Parts: sequence; C-alpha cells; structure tokens
Amino acid sequence: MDRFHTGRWTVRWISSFSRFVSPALLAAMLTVAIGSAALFVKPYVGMADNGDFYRILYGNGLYFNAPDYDGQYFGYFVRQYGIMQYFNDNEAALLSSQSLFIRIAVWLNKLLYSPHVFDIRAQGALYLALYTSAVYLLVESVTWKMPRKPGYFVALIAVFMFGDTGYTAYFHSFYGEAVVLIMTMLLAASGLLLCRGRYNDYAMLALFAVSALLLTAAKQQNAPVGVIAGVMGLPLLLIRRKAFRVTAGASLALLLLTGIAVYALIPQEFVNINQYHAMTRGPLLTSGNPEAALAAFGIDEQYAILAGSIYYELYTTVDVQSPILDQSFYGRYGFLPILGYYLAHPAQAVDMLQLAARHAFTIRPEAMGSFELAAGKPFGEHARFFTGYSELKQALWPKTIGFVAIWALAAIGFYAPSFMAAVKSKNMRAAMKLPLVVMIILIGLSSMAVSIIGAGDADLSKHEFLFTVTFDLILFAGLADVIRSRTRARERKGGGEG
Amino acid sequence: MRRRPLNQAVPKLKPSMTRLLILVISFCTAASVTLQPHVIQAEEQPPRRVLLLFDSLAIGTAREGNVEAMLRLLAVKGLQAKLQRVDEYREGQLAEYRGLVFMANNPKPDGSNARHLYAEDLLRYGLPYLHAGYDLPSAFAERLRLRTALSEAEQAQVTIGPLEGAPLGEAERMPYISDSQGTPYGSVAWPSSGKQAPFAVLEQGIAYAPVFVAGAASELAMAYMLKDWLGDSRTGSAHLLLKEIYPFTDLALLQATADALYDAGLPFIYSVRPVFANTDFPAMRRYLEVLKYAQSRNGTIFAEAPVVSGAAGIQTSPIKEKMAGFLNLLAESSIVPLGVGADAGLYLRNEGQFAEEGMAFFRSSALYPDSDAFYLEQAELNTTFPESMLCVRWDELEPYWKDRSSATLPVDVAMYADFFTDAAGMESALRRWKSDWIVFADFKKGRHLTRTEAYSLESSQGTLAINGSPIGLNDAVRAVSADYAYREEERKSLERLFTVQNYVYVTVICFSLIVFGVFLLIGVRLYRRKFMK
Repeated sequence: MDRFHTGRWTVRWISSFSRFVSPALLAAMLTVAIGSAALFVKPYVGMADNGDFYRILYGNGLYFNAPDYDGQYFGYFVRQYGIMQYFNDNEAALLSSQSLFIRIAVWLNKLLYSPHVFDIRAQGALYLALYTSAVYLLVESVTWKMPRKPGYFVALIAVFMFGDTGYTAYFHSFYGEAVVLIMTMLLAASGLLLCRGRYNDYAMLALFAVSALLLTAAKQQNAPVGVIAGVMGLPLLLIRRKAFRVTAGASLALLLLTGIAVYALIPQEFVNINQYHAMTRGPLLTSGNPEAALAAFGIDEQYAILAGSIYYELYTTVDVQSPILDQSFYGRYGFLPILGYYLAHPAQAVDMLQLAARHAFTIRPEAMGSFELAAGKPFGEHARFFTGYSELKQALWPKTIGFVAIWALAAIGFYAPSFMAAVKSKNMRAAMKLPLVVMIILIGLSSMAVSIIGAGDADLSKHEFLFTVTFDLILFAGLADVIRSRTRARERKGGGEG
Repeated sequence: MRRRPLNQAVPKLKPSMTRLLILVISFCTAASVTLQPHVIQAEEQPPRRVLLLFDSLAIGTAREGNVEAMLRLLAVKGLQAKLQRVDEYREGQLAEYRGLVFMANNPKPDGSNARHLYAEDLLRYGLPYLHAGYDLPSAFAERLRLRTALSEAEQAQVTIGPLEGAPLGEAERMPYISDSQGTPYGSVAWPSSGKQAPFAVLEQGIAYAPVFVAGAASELAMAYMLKDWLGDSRTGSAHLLLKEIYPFTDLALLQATADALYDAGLPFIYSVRPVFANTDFPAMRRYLEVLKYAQSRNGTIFAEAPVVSGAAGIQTSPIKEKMAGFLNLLAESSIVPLGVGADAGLYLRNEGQFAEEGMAFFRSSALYPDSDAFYLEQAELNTTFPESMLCVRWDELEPYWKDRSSATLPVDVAMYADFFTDAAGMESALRRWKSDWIVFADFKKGRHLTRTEAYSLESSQGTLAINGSPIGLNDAVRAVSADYAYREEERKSLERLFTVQNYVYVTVICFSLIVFGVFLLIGVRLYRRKFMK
C-alpha cells in the first residue's frame, strides 16, 4: 500500500514537474544555479588580468585601486576597482559594445553596493542574467514541441556544455569574450526561433539584429561578423512579406554598415600591432626563406631579422611604431596582399591554419588564473568546478584544420537534405536553417582567418574564442536535431505499429 | 684667476692654525688625485657623489627640462648623483655627498625651512655649491659679491669657447649678473639693448649661473664652468656621431657614407641598434660586414641601447644577457664597440635596473636628450661612465660655431644626427661638415674599454684590440650568401616508399570513385526506365 502511494506521488510529482517546467526552463534554472555557485559562492571564480583591462577600464570611469595590483597580473583576478568620482579625462582606448554592459553594471553597483568601489560581481550578475536568458532561448529553439523526456536530456547537454566554468569565468573579467559568448548565443537562438516560428517574428528579428550588432562591435576583429550576418541573413527577407521584409532588409543593411564601421574605427595602435604580427608571425614565421617571402611583398630582405618577433617584447631592435617601419615595412602589405600570399603559397597557408586549429578548442587560456589572492590558491591556479566540458573538449577533439573542415562539411551536409526538402515545399522558414548554420560556421571560421591573416599566430587562443563558441553551438544544435529526429522516428514507428 | 678644485674644502669663516694645517694637507691630497693622468686601471677611484636639488621642474616655461639636462651633464662628468625636491631635504643629508647643485626654477620661492637647512649644512660641511636659477642664498651671494638685475624681454645670446651668439632661452625677462668678484664664464648679450653679462661666475667653490636651460649652447656653456668647479683638468674634443642605424637601414648607403667621410678626412661614430634574435641569418651577417667596413674607414662603432617597448606590459627580460650576447657577436666579427648610446631617459629613469644590467659593460657613453618630455622628480645615478660625451644635435650648434681654433672644449662633445634616408641627404650634410669650422676628432685615439665576460674590447691611440690582441681592419665588404637553412629539415625515413605509396592510393581511389560514379549513373537510368514509365 505504502509503496503504491509513494509511487503514485512520484508519478504525480513528475507529471506536475514536466507540465510546468519546460526543458528550456530547466536548462535556465540549472545554468543560473551552477553559474551562481561558481561566481557568487566563495572562492569566487573569475579571470586574471593579462594587461588588457586598462584599455576598457579607464574609459568607463573605473581605475585600479588595489595597491598590489601589479603583482596579480596573470595569477589572480581582482574583484574590486575604484569608481572615478570627478571628471574623467581618459579617452576610451577602444570603442566596444562591452562599455555598455560595464556602464550598466557600474550603475547597478552604485545603486545597490557602493558609489566609490566597483565590485565585479555586479557585472557578473548582469552577464549571468543575460546568459541565462540566452541559454533559455537556445534550448527552447531546439526543444519546442519535443517530448519532455528527450527535451530534458537536451537541456542537460546544454547545461553541461554552456554552464561550464570555462565560459562563465569570463563574466568576472573585463575581457570582451563575455559579450561575445552571450551575443553569439542570442544570435543563434533568435535565428533558430525565427526558423521555427516560435515567438513573435519582429521580436526575434530585433533580437537577431541587436545581438549581431553588439557582437560585431564587441571587438575589432569581429568586424567580419556584421558583414557575414548582413549577407547570410538575406533569406530572412523571404520568411514574410511587406513590413517584415522592409524591417529585415534595413536591419541587415545596418549590420553590414556596422561591420565596415568597426573595421574603419580600429585605433592606429591596434593597426600597427596586428600589422606587425601579420608579417613577423605570419609569412616570415612559416616561410622556409623569409627573404624570398619579403621579396614577394617588395620589402627589403634585411627585415628578415624580424622573423618570429612579437610586438610585446620588452627590448627590441626597433620601435614598432617608428617611421622607418611605417615607410619601408607596414606600407608594403595589407590584409589582401597577405591573403594573396597565402593563396599562392598553400603549404604555408596550411601551416598557419594548423597553428590556428591547435588553439581553436581552448575555451579558457592557460595563462590566466581563476581565483582571488585572498582565496589562498597558488598563483595562476585554474578553477576546477564544473569544468568537465572544457577539459573534455580540449582533450577530445583533434586539433587539426582537417577536423575543422570535416566539422563544417558534416554540419552543412547534415542540414542540406532538409534545406532541399524545404525549398521544394516552398517552406522558406524551414529553409532558413541551413543558411543560419552556414552563417554561424562562417562567423567561427572568420575569426580563425582574421586572426592568422590579420595578426599571424600572435595570441591565437583569445582571438579564436568566437570559433570555439560557434563550434559548440553547431554541435549542440546538431545533437538536439539528431535526438529530435530519432524521437520522431520512434513515435512514427510506434504509431504505425499501433 | 684663482680656482680651487672640488676636492678642496671651502675655507671656514675663522680658521685656526690647526684647521689651516688640515687644509694644506687636504689640498696636497686633492691635487695629487686630480692631477694624475687618467689611466684605465682595474681599480678606479670611487666616483664622486653630488646631491641635486630642485624646487620646480619649470614645466611649461623656458627652463623646462633643465633638471634632466643638469643630470646629463653630471653623468658626462662621471659623477654619481641623487635628485630630489628641495622640500624633502633633511638636515645632515649633505654629509653623504661631495657637493650640492640646486636648480632654482621657481621665481617666487615659498621660503620653506628646507632651503635654510641645506644652506646651513653647506656652510657647516664646507662643500662646493652650484646654484642655477633664481635667488642665490645671501650667504653665498656675499661671498661672490654678487649683484643681479632683470633683463628686458628680449632674446639673449651666449658666447663661450667656439660658440658665438647662440640663442639662450626665450625672449623673456631673465636675471643676469650685473656685478661679481667671481671668475666669469662666457658672456650673455642682449643685442637690442647692448647689455652684456657673464653666463656664470665661480669663486672658492661657489658657482652661480642665473639662467640655465636645456639646449646645446646652454649645456656647453655650463660644461665650461662645471669643469673648473669639479677641478677637472681634462679637455675634450668634438666627435661626429650618426645614430638611428638599424640592420635594415640602407646598407649600401651606410657603406657609401663611410667612404665619403673617410675621403673627406672626417672621423665618425656609428651608433648601431642591437639585434638579439636571428643573429645567424644572412641579413645579420650583411649588417656586420658593413659595420666592420665602416670601422676600417676611420669609423668607431657604438652599441646603442635597445628600444624599450611601452606595449610590453608587465614583463621582465634578461637585458644583461641580451646585451652581452650582442657585444660578443660584434667581437666575434672583429667589431669593437667602444661605447653605448642611449636616450637619457632610459638611463635616468633606470627602469628594470637598465643602467646596471644593460649599460655597465661600457666606460664611455653618449646620452641623447629625449625627444619626448619626461618629468623626473627622483633619480639615483649610481652607474657612471668615466669617459662620456655631451650629446648635442649637430645642427643646433653648427650655425654658431666660429673659427676658434684655440678654443678647447671642457668635455667630449658628440654632435649627432640621425642617419640619412637617401644619398642626397648624406651629400648635403657632408658638404656642410667639410666647409664648417668644427674639427672632429677620432674617438679611437682615446683610451676606451668595453668589457663582457668573454671579451675585453679597447682602443688606444687609434688602435683597436680584442682581448689584448690588436685587430687588422678589413678593407672589403665580403659578400654573404643567401643560402641558409632557416628551418631544420625534419628527419624522414622511407620517404620514397611512402611517396610512391601515396601516388598509388590516390590513383586507386580516384579510379574507384570514377567507377562508382559510372555505376551510379547506370543505376539511376535503369531505375527511371523501370519505375517511371
């Protein structure tokens, strides 16, 4: 009798749970729980400064107020910063949509915590809230109209992949990767939701456009994202007519222009840094004869001495911003000539792509520590809480360009039949899925290409963060679709037998 | 004209017989030290320490940069110096020093206690004192019987040694010496009003210069007075120095310039940038060949300090090993670097112990005035260079250098210019050098020493030696073969077997795909014929 009542109660509880808690809601709840445990429960997890924070910090009214800040570079993340009280005469060192989120976080901090000291947990809370909603929308886009059981399974996969501390640790840092992660996920989710007709089309279109805009403007190297989204988003015009088409067209045009503007507004300092690395850590590094490589660009063979050097070396032969380099070195090449060089020298192109692939599956760079100094952990220690996926990913996937090519082709091949079927049946909404997948793949590959053509092999793991996010999104969407199609096949088989 | 060396104590107000005796003994000791000819010895005398105080960096005024200029001058004279604000002076601090320099840039001093403290200590210890700027303390003004006045707001010109009518400061009202019993140095003139006054005066260890600004003429004028204030008997020569020379500077132009200067009988110095990586590349060997050639054409090589990157962030790097590596490389190529060239800021700021780690190999230095302003409020110069040159831009002094063949220089002066970007620039400069009155001396004629753990690189009377062995000077630039293995060939085994195997597989697979395609086509056609009638 007792066992019977317990069993009935369990069934009722499960039934209520599955009625009220959708897979998306489950994923969101678990993400916020795991993220909160990592970010807001001691020891707090974050990411140490590698020297880049000052670029975004001072322009947004914050400053380093820890007296021992210098000693914590790379090893410990710093939780508190000073808020400037008077006129801030610092110009923004770079233009980025990240500033928007920092300013909102500072406003929240002043409202709830202190007008003088900024606690980075305010930013972490803001990012976690946005990220949770992104996870919710992503899971909803793939589990809508899916039976609960497989839906919950997909939700757990999402939590395992995207709740990883390797991703959420960025929320307690001033790297642009936090914005890149959230906006890429929102871009993918809004696109998938448009494909499935879930939620209001205008709302999803607005989310698509805004997330693409913020993603493009998050980092200078994301300039191609606006162009790719603007072009690959053209099938959106076919979903509906009239007003929606006009709105979609205007949004895509805006994205295109934003991509061009972000490229044009790159500060000269970054132009020189990347220009320098594009040659010294590109053709000169991989060529069997640097002098011949220089001759191909019409540059004096003596510059072969710079082969392999990096902009950030403390003691150098020449000031990387000096007039002699401006006249005789930087002025002799650019993005397109280097692209042309790699096309003419495929062996070197493959070498560079292999170098890029080696760093493409790293979510969190090895160099930066995860904990505060006060936590008492060793210098540079990484958090191990809920990092199963990031460690598995780094260990599991073959880090070669061949695998990346196979992944891209497999993803396209997987969605191609449904695309052709949708085109035949004139279902443009369903047909949008393949262009969306291709868009996400191209966005990921663009970060790889822009990194190696625009800046050689310098700082590849950080430059390829966008690739690692898009890889995970495509993988997740593919897994979810496989589960859905198997569920449907089982249902059909079960219905047929019935 | 009475002059006292720095080492002699300034006489107290009321000397007793005992004190007089001590004074005589001190004088004899000091004379024996200062009059000794300078010889490179294993154990040099400990450098003299001077305290440099200032009340204002004079930012935004004509005197801006004069504190750094004074530091450079003190470094050229081989002095250790400590720089600090006069407000931070503490009583008794002067006991650690052999002299005091005060840069009084504030025309309206606040009369702080520190000013009285240092003046009292000066009198107590009887140390030599150099005052540059406003408001010489009355106790010292009395000794000089000094009277000053204020000029009109017009451009002043300084004449001293070989310089005539060189501009001094800006056209503004400035103090000048209207009367003094001290020994005058140079003269400052205001052509519009016809007024004239000494640039500086010196008497019994008290030196006063009402106007000292950063700039070639003012620094050279100050060097004249410093020489006597320090009791330094050495004189100097002018040297031609070309900097901004990189491995990717036009090597043909470097060679042609060396030839042209040699043909014109002009000795010169090439201050060359160091290379720390890829030093076995053909490009580096070509660079070294040209430097060796320049050395053979009456040139001297200086190793310039590397660029310190502002973008490097938080990093440390073993500069000592890097510089030693570069110097050893030069020595192995029979190139003898006789000194170091560096921006003064690198030396004065001494970030990352650069002076101790990167410059201590050298006894000779050329400290260039920084092109970017930097404001130093504290400095401790412990690394000294016994044979150093005052660096001035050649085109700053050349217009005012008149035929003063009898005029000697108080210090070695490096008149520098950036290396040329084209042959036309070189020829134009060469014409001016050949025609003007400046006589450039051969730096190799002096005794200079650069030392690493592996090599001792020296010069004496025009001869260069490495580890004591004189080197022959190479006449010709040897051609460097571009044949070089930039990458190590990976060891491969059974290469031919696998290559053939690959071709076989590719052929078989392509053939199979074609056959498969053909069968697929046939199958589709049969299917259509059968089921789609």
